[in-house]
Amino acid sequence: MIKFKKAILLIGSPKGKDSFSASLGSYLLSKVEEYDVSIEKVYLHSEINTEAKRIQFLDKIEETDIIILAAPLYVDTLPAKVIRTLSLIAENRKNINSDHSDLETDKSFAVIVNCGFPEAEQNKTAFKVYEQFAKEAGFKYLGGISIGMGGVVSGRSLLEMGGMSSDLIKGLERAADDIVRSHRFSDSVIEKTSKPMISPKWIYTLVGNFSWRYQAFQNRVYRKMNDKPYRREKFND
Amino acid sequence: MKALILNGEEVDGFSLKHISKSIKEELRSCDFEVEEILLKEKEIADCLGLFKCWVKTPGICIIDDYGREAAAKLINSELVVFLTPVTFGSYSYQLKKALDRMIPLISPYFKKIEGEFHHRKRYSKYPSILAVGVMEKIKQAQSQIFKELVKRNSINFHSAYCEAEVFEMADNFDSKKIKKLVKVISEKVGEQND
Repeated sequence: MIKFKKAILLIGSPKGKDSFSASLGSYLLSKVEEYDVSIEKVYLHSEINTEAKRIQFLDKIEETDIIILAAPLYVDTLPAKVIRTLSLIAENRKNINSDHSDLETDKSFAVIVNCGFPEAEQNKTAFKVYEQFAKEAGFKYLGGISIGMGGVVSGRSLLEMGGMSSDLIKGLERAADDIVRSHRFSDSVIEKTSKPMISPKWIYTLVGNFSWRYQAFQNRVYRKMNDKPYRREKFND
Repeated sequence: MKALILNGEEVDGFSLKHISKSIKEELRSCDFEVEEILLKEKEIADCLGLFKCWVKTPGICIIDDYGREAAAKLINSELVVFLTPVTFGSYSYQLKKALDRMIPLISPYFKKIEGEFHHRKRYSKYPSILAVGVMEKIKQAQSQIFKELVKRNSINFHSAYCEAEVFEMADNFDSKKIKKLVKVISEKVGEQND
């Protein structure tokens, strides 16, 4: 029996609407909405910048049954702003539940992490961090969807990507079903979503390296690509 | 040799001053010139995730604040110390904000390292990492994640050596263990620079 009523998507990329995190999270949220769940999106980099907004945000979290977080991998873990947000949530939950020895796990938490490396496995440490957060905040952790090759998306919606994203789309649709039923992500969700969008991996890195060169060329800094602006004599040649 | 301490204590969190003092004392006794940055006192904006530091101003973040200076100091050190409250097994917001701004120090180009793709070096040398995590009460799972994270960082930042340990915040904090840890990595860094 489906018991959830409200879901919130937290987008942890500073690129906001133009980010891969937004594309992934929005697609999953739209599928969750099909189960008659009311939905809302919050862009963490712009929507919790003042004390008033933070209070409003924390109230929203308390009124929500399902929390989905979509964020990039930064330096092997969560982006700073996401750490800040999750700390605020966990602290607030502890304060609210200070009368109880254990937090109630009436809310579910699911994560989508994407990285620019070809290997989705590079997100694994971040998932462990997210799971610890869920434990501290008293949320039921439904699992994480791990996606590599983030560079191929660059702001497009998943449906615009054609066959490249077909497995990913199927996986997210199944994930929506798990989320509304408060089930841990099934093996089929993990299998579908973690399939590389481009195979073999070296094609992705080849195209990626070309893309960096092309962007530098367009910005007229191609010859400066390997500059060492902070090099000091006798240390870093 | 230079050592840079990135002190990531939080604005409303516990002070790491006494731990930092022990680390500094031991580093100085191991012939390091030590500098500490108390990150919460510096203006460092969050990374914008645009990669302009790779394709528009190669090697320099487009945000003109203390993040640039912190990156310059880090790359010209032989050892960087991450001193941080452990947050769900990861770093504090203050430390992570600074680390997210270190991306200009590496190259955008991919390279395979031990079977995995990472970004190539921009500089010839990168500092080794000593990570000191602090928790009010040790949680083994988070302590383990913290060590794993530091190891991952050392691959992506091309560090020759890394050491990580988590300590419990206590009034009677025993500095011997932390000094021993500092000594271990100092010797390794020293040998590398001989």
